[in-house]
Order: sequence, then structure tokens, then C-alpha cells
Amino acid sequence: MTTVLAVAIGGAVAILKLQWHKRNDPTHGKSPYSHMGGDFKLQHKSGTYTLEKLKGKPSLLYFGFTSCPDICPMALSSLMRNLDRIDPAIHKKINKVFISVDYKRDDNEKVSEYVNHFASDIIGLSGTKKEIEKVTKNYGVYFSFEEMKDSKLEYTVDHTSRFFLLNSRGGLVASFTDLKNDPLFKEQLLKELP
Amino acid sequence: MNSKFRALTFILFMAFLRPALSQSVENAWVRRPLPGMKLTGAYMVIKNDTNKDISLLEIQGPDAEYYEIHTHENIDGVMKMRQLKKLKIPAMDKVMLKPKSFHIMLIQIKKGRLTKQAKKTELTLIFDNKVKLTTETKLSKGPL
Repeated sequence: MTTVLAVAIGGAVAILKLQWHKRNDPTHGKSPYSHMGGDFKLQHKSGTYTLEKLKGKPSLLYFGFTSCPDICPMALSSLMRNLDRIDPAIHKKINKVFISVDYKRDDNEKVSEYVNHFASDIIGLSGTKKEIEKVTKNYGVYFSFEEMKDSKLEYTVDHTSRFFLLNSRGGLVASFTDLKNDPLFKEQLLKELP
Repeated sequence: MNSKFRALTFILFMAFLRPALSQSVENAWVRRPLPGMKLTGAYMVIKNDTNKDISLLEIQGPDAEYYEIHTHENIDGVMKMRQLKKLKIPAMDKVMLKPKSFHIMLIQIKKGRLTKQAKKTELTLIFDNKVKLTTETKLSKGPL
């Protein structure tokens, strides 16, 4: 009798735990990304910036650096153009975020100035070594400072080139490398809009 | 004798028709740098119509302090940029310098160069066979 009672109580606790987890998991456990992403603390020119500020609208995050001559400008231009293709009015319904992983050269003002060349509503964020290491780890972004011995650049930053889609509750739901040719980009993004 | 002369004339005629063995640069363009940016990339097609491999060793131009040959590699979604000491163009072949691949990097762009008003510039490519090619270079936002 005691055993049956213990199992019943154990089972009830497990169900309650699961329900609690589902309610508090912004992706409701549906996404394979549900174990990734999460809160961050970074720097915007207006002050400290956390995931909380992005909630209320879906967000697209990209990690790069401002002295990236080729890949990052192409990625941001591609983001703008592919959003325009879906609907020019979509820009107001989502957050577009560029996070610089180059904590050695980029501060929040430099990142803001950089993203402003692409669109005035892109949120440019920087961070300290610790902050960048944490957010990249949580979002599965690889970056590495690579010395360029004979180059006047001195170093470059190898980095993952990928867009991360967050739902309006801040949960990571998908990621894309090729916005133009990946049909899921439009589909997933529209699904997250109210 | 007559037939030999005719054959010789034919050979000389065919040699004349054959395109000149040379190397060339086509469709050169520089990505217009964002205001305040000190870096940008230059892209083109380098053709080697000679029967020997050649290598691009050096680039000169009026817009930047330094010109370097770089490449990008996409390894499992991670973009890695690396410097190359030279860029080989095999005999009777061509190499495309394009975004996300081989490119010439302009470093420390000079004040007043490659501005919004600039429409074109030029690049001089120096090869290991002593050939020096200067090419007119457009300024462009590039393919998106």
C-alpha cells in the first residue's frame, strides 16, 4: 500500500513538474532548439541589453564583427532584402539584431554605427569577453580570433554565419544559413508573427 | 614544291588565326566600402590563356595603403578568412575572385578614396612571369 502511494505521489509530482516546465519553456518543448538560446546580457549604446527587451516580437539574431569585409555586410544586406521580399511592412513586426563577437575591437557605439548603414532599426550589440563567450555558447555560435601573421589586418575572427529566429517569448525556434533559398525561412518567420 | 608551299602557307595561316597566348583580367569591381570602413574587397576574373601556370603575387592601387590576397573557406558553417602569399592561375584556365571566396583585400583605405561619389578606380596586378596588368575597376554594392 505504501509503495503504491509512493509511486502515485511520485507520478503526480513528475506530471506537475512537466506541466510547470511546459508553461515556463517559451518554445513549449516543440523545438529541437529548446535546449539552446536563452537570456543574455549585452551592451547597446543606450545601455545594458537583455533578452527581455526583445520579447513581444519575433527576433532574428546574427553574430559577426564590424571589420568583417565581406560575409557580414552580405549577411545584413541579404537579411534586409529577403525581409523586403516577404513583406516590406514586416520590418516593424520583428527585431533585427546584430551581435559583434569581436570584443577586442567593437564597442556598442561602433556596432550601432555599423548596423545603421544597413537600416536604422537594426539593434547593434557588443559585449565583454565574458558576455560574448556566454551568449555564443548558449546559441551554439563558434568564434575564434585568428592571428594573421603577415597581414596588415593582424587578426581576423572566424565565426558561424547563421541567422537565429526567436519567437516573441524569446525562445529559439529555428536557424538559417541561406535566407534566399531556404523556403523554411519565410514559413517559420510568418508562423511566429501574430 | 607547289604542294609543300601550299602546306606551309596553310600552317602559317592557321597560326595567324590562333588567338594570342596571353593573360587578362575581366569584370573587376570593388565593393563600395561603408562610410567610415577602412576595409573592402576587390573581385574579378583572371584568365590565363598561356601554356604555363602563372601566379598573382602583388596588387597595387591608388585607394588603400595595403592590398592583400585573401580567401574565405566555409567549414561546417564557420567562415574562415586566410591570407594567401600568391594565387595560382593554371595554364589555359581562369580563377574567379568573388565574395565568399578568393578576393583582394584593400586595407586602410585612404581618406577621400572610394567615396560615394567615386564611380570607378583601377588595380594593377603583378604576376610571377613579370607581367603587369592594369585594369579599370568599377565600384559596386555587389551581389546581395
